[in-house]
Amino acid sequence: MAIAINFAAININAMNRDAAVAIGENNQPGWTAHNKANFGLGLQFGISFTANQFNVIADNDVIDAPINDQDGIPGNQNQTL
Amino acid sequence: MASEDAIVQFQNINVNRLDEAAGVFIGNNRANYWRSMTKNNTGFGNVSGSVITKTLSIVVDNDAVDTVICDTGRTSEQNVDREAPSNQLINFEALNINALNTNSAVVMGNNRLNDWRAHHKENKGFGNGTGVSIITDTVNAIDDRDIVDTPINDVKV
Repeated sequence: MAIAINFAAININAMNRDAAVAIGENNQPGWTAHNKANFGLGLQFGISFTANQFNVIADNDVIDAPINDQDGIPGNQNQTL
Repeated sequence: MASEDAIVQFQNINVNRLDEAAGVFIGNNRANYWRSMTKNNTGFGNVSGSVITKTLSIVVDNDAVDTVICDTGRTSEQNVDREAPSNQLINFEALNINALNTNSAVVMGNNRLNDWRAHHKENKGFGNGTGVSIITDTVNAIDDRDIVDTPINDVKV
């Protein structure tokens, strides 16, 4: 199998978790991402002026965010030229 | 070119934002069983180019069990492959992506990206600010007391 990929530019500004730019012949099974987040004040982009903020987070748990991720995902690939 | 050839030609692709579990796929691709489960609490949403003053945002989300994510569904058959075109030609000038979020992909060619998963929970008192933002005198409170918070069960056979 012949794959010809011609390009001048790929521009990516920001990549978050588990993000991919894949070119060609790729085998990428079973990507997982789990998360929990608490933000008092979120993310600020650009020109920001923040003043006199009062942010409170009360997140008392007995169990907080248990993540159970056991899996076997096979990835078979026969390489060809 | 023969009929089993694949030709993809374009000038530009411009994407501002790929959100969670999103993708730009070019060519012969398989992306089966992508899953995304999300819970969001936001007291004050996202602002862009704004002046925000004297706000009070309160999120109260007390539960016994909060956000049960049980993702035990089937996965794809990895070994059975569709016959790809024997020759692939992909020509382009530019590909511009501003932001790739969690579990997002830009792929081209012959790709297999099965079983990508993303689960998350998020509490925000005040959301994201973009552009020119002036935020003053705000009070943001999140009260998220649970017995069990966000159990994520992602077990595959």
